[in-house]
Amino acid sequence: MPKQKIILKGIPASPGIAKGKAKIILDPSENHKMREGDILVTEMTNPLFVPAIQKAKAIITNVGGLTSHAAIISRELGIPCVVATRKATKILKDGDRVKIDGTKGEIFLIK
Amino acid sequence: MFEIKNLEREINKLFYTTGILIYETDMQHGDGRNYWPFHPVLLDSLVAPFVFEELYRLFRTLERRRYSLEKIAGIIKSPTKIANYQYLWPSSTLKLVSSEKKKYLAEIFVKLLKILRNKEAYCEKFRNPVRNDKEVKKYIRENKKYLIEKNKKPEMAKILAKLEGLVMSYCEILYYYMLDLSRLFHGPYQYQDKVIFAKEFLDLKAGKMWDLVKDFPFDHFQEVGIYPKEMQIQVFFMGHSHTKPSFPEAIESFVLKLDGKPITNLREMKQYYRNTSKAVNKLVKYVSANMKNEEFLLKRGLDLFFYPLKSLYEEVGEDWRKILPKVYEFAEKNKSKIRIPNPWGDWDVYKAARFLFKVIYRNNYRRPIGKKEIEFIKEIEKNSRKIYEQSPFPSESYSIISALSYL
Repeated sequence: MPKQKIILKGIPASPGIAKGKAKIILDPSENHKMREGDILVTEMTNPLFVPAIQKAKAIITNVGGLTSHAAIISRELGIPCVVATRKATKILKDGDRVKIDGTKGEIFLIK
Repeated sequence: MFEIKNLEREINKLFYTTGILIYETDMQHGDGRNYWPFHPVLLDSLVAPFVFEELYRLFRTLERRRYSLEKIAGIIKSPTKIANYQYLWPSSTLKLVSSEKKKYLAEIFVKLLKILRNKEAYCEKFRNPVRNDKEVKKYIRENKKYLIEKNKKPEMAKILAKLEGLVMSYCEILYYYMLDLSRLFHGPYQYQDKVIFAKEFLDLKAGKMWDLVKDFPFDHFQEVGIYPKEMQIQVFFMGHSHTKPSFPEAIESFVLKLDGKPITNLREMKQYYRNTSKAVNKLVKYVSANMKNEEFLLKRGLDLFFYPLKSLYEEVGEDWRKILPKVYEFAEKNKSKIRIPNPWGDWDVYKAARFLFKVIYRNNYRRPIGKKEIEFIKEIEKNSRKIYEQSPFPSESYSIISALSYL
């Protein structure tokens, strides 16, 4: 069993659990970096992130609340989302394997 | 003739609901850094007097032609659209519109909302009842043959969620987050031992607004979903919804119609998804490439307030674009004068309270903020809390006092 360590907490914005590789996208111009099944990690999404969101298994943001863009779109898509983690883009690195619990608002690093 | 008892009280309810909703939206967006591409106050202030003057003129013209309010409501179709125009009330530029016209508009907004929402104008029961029970029953009866069950066709249910997410993102780009000018979520409706909830998007082929989207694969998206009776859905005044669990998780079966055509097979649905994805990605690329072109973004932002009124313009025999040159000119002259409020950032408690009072009292609050006002805010906060305590959803930041003490 791989070890799991809780590394971030935020507001649970869309329920469910997902595992995958973190992909830090700070600007929509980096949308192309996203691969199918990655976990999108960003400051806050806006509508121009849609090509990245289409491929995302889950979303983690630094800021936002229950009615912010990432929260609304992830609930519509039925993918887990945690917002307002404050520092996800600083703590996580591209390629980190993470587990996101969108029901509890917790993010784990899988080693 | 449609009449309402105690109209003054109803108008107060309209402003009260609008004030709370604006507050909630602002709270959720933090200090405004996350608005895209402009802070709504900028656009609202630049268009507000024109939108209200135009609405006044259009409604009056139709009245003179002896249109009943029910008929006007039928032309507008979406109560959510009307609700979203209420965001304009706190704009300081509305002082350019006479009190008489504003009073008339407040009255007509209330009446239209009452008609279009089957008397629940402010979504006071957390639902948006655009249809009545009879209509819902009839719809289900007539469309049973098009029902797709998630258990039997899970792939189709999955693509439905993705397709709807895409259409939503598309509308967010077209309407700069004010997607409820197109999106119409309505229900929940009780049907036998199930919950029915409908998701519609209107006027998607908005080619006359942006030539770029004239080939969008469909103009009207309509999904009618059937959920178990335990499904909890709340719809708020401006059209936002909260659910528990999520729609894709809970949906049992659905009817999907694109431009009125039922979609019943996977191959066709996938094709629509691919075409929609292509159209959305084309739009994303175009807008991304123009993100530094302020003139382009501003003009599109101003247009989007008038395009949703095109059915009213058409009814009186006019083009919705006729007003735009005047709007652009006003915007160019005044855009640098618009002050973006940031009540939750660097304002002190009294200044923030004053902003809130202005929102609630239609910009006409002149008294200094004192004990009485703070008490009043506490009362709103209590009511706001009450609403969310009744709600099955977490209430993390819905508190004016916590917002003020956070400063």
